[in-house]
Amino acid sequence: MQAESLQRRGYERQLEFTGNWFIDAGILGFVNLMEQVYGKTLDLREVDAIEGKFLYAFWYKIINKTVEGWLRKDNFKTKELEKSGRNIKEIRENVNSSIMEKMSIENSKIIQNVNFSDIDAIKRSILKINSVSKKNIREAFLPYEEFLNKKYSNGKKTIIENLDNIGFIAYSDFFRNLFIFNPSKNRKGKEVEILELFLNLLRNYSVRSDGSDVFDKSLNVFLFTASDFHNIYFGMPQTLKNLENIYGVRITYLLLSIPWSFIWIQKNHFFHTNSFANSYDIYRRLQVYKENRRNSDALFSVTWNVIIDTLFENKANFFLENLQIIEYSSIEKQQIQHVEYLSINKLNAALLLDDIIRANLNKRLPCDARRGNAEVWLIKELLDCNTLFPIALEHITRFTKERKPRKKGTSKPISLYLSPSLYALMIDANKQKLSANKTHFNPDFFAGYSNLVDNIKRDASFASYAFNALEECVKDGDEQDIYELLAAIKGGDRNYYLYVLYHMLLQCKDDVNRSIVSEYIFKNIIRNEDNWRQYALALLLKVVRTWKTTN
Amino acid sequence: MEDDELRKSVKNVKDAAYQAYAGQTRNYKQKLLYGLLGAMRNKDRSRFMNILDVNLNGVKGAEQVSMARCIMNEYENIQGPHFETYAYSIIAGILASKDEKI
Repeated sequence: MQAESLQRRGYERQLEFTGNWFIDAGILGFVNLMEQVYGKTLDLREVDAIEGKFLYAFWYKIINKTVEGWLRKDNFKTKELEKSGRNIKEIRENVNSSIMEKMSIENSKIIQNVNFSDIDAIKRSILKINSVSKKNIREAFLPYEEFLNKKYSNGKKTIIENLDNIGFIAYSDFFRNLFIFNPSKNRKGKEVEILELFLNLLRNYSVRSDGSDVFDKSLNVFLFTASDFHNIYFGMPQTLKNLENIYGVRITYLLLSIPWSFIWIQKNHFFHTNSFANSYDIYRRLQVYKENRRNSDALFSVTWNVIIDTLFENKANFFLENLQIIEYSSIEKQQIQHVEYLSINKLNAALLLDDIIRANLNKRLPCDARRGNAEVWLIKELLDCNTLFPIALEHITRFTKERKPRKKGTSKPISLYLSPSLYALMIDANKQKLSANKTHFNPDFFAGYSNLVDNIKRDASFASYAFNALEECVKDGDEQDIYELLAAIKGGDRNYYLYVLYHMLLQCKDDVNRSIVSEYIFKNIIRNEDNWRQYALALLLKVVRTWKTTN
Repeated sequence: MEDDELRKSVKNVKDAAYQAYAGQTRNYKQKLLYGLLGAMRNKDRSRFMNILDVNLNGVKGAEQVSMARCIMNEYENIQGPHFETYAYSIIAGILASKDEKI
């Protein structure tokens, strides 16, 4: 790949990213694909074998994944099987493991014996592994033929009937728009032709069946279709030959490898940094965690630690500011869903580098029904440059409504995330202070916002001191007042908030706690006309959490 | 008025209130504060100032005089757009002041 072009130039160099995330995703995906199929011993400098190796690896992975996907469907009529007195779980496990095992044995045979510079031999091996898989599936499912569900071809065929029709057991959401994966093309008896077309695509960039090398949605779901590029006056759609000229590598290797650069952590993520080594490290570590931990929540929470650890070990604070996360949830109806491009600006990087703040933000708060009852991940909101105050407010409001399940067994009562909410509010308040009456590039920007983190922590500790004191001041009967305080915050009515709060304080007999709260109110709410709401809400956190449970 | 100036001036008013009402009885202050808060509920400036002035007039002492002077000095500011801020600073000051020693 790169090595090919580099050797042509007469020197060797390590793999490096180009700075364009799309191409870089391809580079990482290519390396991952090769490693997954051939192990870590792969030497990318064997230039002659690269084409053959990629050809085989690509098809093997696609076939492997498709078979796995098929086995995950409910192929069996469960009830009828159980009526006939058989154990459905056992049957399913036996069938699945025998098919997958036989496939991997066949694969290792091929890898050991095939000469990867001989393209014809590789074509034969791909055909072989396809036909062997077909045979294995047929053999494994044949004893249960009468108990099979019709889950294929829009519910018209069983798994065995489906085998009679299709050529390669190959289906990929990512490449669904590519003509060779089209169901009308991928028919029995056309396998050789498809491989020929694929090779043509690899070598001559014929993305369309008419030989055009346009760089559009047919090769990658992230892109538009060529007809969507209607701004013809400004320029034509990019072509693959142009891309090859820019990057100096055979571009189809990269573009076809992109799916393997994403890792599934509740969504598909690709972590793009400036350096290949860092992105590769992050991917590798997450992969290890993923294999060891089944619980996706735990995995979710370690993700950021892995990223930060990796970047720290490489002494690369700089990289955090240039980290870009590309994510999508799934591909449905040939459209890629929920694509997001997250990047980290200097201010957020400063926040994330702090352990306490990161640990607190790395939580998901249950929020309003408006967001589909979804839990909102604070770091993501921060990276999106959204204000965190509305999220904390929604979270607290929902908590007041759903602290106890309305009906038994309908929904779990949610709990209040005290410390994450507190930090979210304090971060929001301090960020707003930064921007007030100042130019964009103030000295803080160049100093890396050194004071910001300290200020946030100081505010958070003062607020926690104050809300503990307020909890002591509030009596059980003050529930109505708390609702009114929350309503005043929502409505932005500072006068009413202060009125109700001082009324409560006047009734309190505990002088020490009263003066602590009063001092907090004076410093952060009375003297602060701009962003008092964050501090006002922070003061209520503890009371909201405890007031009803004491009743 | 600049932010810093406002903060400083508000602090002065609060400190004056704190000084003026230190040593008064708890009940006395409680009654005064309820009156002031009642005025603030409707954002009734004149009533708030009326209650405060009458109260300052009734009690004789060096601190009260200095608070009255402070309020007169800041009178323009207090009656300006930041009235709410000043009013609650006074309330905060009175609330925080120490009670009469028994």
